[in-house]
Amino acid sequence: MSMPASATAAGSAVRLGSLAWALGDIVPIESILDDAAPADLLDRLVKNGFRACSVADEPATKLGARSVAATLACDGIDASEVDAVIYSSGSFGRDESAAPVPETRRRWAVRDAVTIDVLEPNGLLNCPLFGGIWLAGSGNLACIWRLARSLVLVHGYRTVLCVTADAIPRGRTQYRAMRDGIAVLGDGAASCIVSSDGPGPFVLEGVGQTASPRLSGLGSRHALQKRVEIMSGIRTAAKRLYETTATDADAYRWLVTNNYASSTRNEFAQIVGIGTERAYEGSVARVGHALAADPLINLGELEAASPLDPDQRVLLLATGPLTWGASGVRKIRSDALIQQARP
Amino acid sequence: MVTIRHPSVHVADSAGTGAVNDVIGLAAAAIREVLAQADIAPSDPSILVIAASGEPAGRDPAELAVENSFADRLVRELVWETGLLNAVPILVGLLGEPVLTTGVLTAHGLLMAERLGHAMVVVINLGEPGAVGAAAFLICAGDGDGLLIRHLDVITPRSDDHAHDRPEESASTDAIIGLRATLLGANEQELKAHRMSSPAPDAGLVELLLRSRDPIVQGVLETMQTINETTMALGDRAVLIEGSAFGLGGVMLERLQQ
Repeated sequence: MSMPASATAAGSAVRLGSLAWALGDIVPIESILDDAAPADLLDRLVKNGFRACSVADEPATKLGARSVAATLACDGIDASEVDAVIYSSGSFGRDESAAPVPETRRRWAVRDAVTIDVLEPNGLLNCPLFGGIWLAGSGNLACIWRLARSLVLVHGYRTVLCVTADAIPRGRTQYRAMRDGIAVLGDGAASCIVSSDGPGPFVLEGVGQTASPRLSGLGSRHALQKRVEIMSGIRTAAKRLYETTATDADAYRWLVTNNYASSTRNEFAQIVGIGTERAYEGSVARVGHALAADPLINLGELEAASPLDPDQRVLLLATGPLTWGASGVRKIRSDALIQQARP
Repeated sequence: MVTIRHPSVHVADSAGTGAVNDVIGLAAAAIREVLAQADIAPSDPSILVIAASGEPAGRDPAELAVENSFADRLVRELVWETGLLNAVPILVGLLGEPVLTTGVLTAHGLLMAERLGHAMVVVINLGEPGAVGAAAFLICAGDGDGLLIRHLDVITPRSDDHAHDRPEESASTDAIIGLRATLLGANEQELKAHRMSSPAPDAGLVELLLRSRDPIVQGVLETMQTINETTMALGDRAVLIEGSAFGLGGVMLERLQQ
């Protein structure tokens, strides 16, 4: 299939594709509520759109490995073609049941886990690894994409494999159902290829990202101030995206966000100027909030369920506690494979 | 052009435990010193790249995953309390060397790709192996002063170097010679004959290789102390190489103005 003229003209555009993700078991949210949960929490979560969430019986690195394998399989990419791997996570615990780490490599537990679980089984040991990008929390996808874009545009990398993987440590059920009902934390990984000349099906047109470090100094009694900062940060991130890509809210067919309560998603849509009818509900009910993997999963599910037409755009919000990113992608072809890794 | 400006290094008096408490304070001090030397407003840099080598000592990784206390401290003490209020903090690290090169590569790429002016890079060595300490410096786009980044490279050793029973230092030695050859445009076999202690065959280069016990792993902070705007003369070049069995990085710098 020939590419549309706009894609051909953007010969140096940054391609995005080979979307894949890996999840744990999908369990009803009733099963992850701890004894100390408020009596009305279940009702509030259901009202906010949550029905189930992904609970993995494996560490984040194993989820990442399955997602990476699925990404490589999407377009038949050989591991030797990958020039760099960017690995992002806020979950650095290692599965106690995993094989012992050899003495010569025991210095870096994080590095060991990523190397042994993710790189080695996928034949990626010869790739430079940019890893541990985690200060943005659930907004890590924006950090990854900024770095991947710069590697392609500035440093001449052709194929960059991006992966984000998070899992709540076992036995931490009290952290899954957030008391304010805004999210149910799930486990998940997602991955994609950012490249100079890959098949797409998207172009990564730009990423606007902002942060409010002052939030790190605010406690729970500053809830209103925090909320104002967050909304302001999201608005600024979207504004930067619009400015750098010469677009506006009307240019985007869909808004994709992290998996928060429906009211939060609609609020985000209003802030970035996109009608709530264009805010994609995505995998909220089935997966829960799989931290930084959400936007990539939702973009993949959107494309699988209702493929975009060429030249249609999606705005992806990747939002953490104090860092917010707005990324713009444009469809350039319509025959791409998108897949969820099998357990 | 992209330059490194005002490197500042703070190393703890004694290496050892308590790395997190020590090193974040040292990194904050280095950032403040850079800002003062550069005479720029703290609000100027829009990126803070934190390149942390190794992992926070004495912390349970599972606790880190949930509470992000280390992340909270990095943001609060390195961004908020130093006044870098417009900076987006990005942590690239916790994975061992080549941490400095990765940090420079990240900041350099973001500046050029997004047409930004200044980035602050802070390199943190959390301890084992090597000294506890931190270096900070500015990376500036379009400046005609400072240390010009002429070449950057991050490579990985061959996959068989990752063999579990091979000491990383010996695995690195072969690969680092290959990297030096790439950076210097030199003959790899010739460099192998000279090994680590010999001067580079290119007489125009001032090669500041590392003087500590473990020259490959431990020398980053020491090298940053050595490579600065007072010890390098106009036109001098320096090659900074760091690495382990997992990856190697090299930066070639050239002094632009006195």
